[in-house]
Amino acid sequence: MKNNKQLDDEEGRLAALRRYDVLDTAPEEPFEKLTELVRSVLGVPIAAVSLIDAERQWFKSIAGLVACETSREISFCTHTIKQRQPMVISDATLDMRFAKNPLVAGDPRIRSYLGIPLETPDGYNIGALCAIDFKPRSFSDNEINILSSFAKLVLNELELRQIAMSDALTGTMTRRAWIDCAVKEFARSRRYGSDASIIIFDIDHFKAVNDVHGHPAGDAVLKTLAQRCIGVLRDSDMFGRIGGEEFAVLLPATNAQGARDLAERLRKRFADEPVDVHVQALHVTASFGICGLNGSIDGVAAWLAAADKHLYAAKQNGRNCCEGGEKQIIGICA
Amino acid sequence: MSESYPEDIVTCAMQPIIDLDIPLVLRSSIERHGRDLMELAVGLLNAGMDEQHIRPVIKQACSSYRDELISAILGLREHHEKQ
Repeated sequence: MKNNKQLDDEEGRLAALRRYDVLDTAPEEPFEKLTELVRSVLGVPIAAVSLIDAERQWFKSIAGLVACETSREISFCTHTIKQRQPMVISDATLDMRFAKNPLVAGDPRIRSYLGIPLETPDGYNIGALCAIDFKPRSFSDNEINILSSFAKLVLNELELRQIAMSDALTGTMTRRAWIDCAVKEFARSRRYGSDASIIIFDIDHFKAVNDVHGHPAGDAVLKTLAQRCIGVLRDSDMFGRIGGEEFAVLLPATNAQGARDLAERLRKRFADEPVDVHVQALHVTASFGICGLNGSIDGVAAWLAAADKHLYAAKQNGRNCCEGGEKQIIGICA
Repeated sequence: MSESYPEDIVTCAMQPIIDLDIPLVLRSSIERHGRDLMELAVGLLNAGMDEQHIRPVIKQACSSYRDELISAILGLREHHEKQ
């Protein structure tokens, strides 16, 4: 449902941006081709796919200027994402919002700008496709329509990437996408010294569900438990299906105890609420392994392995329980 | 008459995509992309561009999407094989 509420929901907007997992990725030809096309079709010296992060604008692609990012406060596109319509600036020196902007007063001396919001299907403007000129100029309705069409093509490519990152059955991330995100979160947590934790869980006796009730029933169990999990996670948490019946959750800014509490809530909810399959109610449980990030973990593989060790212990201890995450266990995580 | 050749241009540009073995989950994305390319072709025509110039623009825009599509198909196949 798209409405103007999303325009003021900065937290939701940033979460939508993160879901594309595109920030700080290397330049890629598909986006380069589109910005080059914008430049040549509209006859502008600069075209860019600009994504607006919390404190910066970051260019997925920029043609005609060597730049990687700028601070958000001097970004034109920051203004574009505040509206649904294209933003047209014919002469930035005559616009009070931009006349003193260092990108106008100094290099590259931007004079005119046309920006189209990059609006996600759920209504968040994650950035803008923009065309920039060094001289004042107007943009015709036809030119605005053309750039709007190019913006849709940019979104299609980002969407395509997101589909490829999603497990079709459960809507969670694929293993590869989850690992990519975990690598970034690991680096971020290390850089800022912040907490982060992993929960992995595995559905108990899942093979028996498939064998006894059939694969459609197994699929229904996977979907239902995934949805229950999504229902309690924050936008910033990363949830992936990393194996047949195994899932992983990465919780930024969460210590081991917080992760343990969440895992216990999930475990109880799974165990207390049977899954409706056709006319039957299946009682399904899961086992959980938790590991908070600590100084001795040197990468995502080690982090995941430590959580997996706790998951194995949970299976050994009779299933339908959580292992790891307690303060006294953190020390032996690695 | 003027609307028939944008359609022809988009159909030609989309042909290498149509020929791919597309997973069901990606089909609506491809349909949407075809519609958006059509909108771009008509926009270029309305802006006064002739067929000779529109054709390479649409072809290039479509090849950009095709690169991304192939990566998506490979990623989905890999995930499917691991489940």
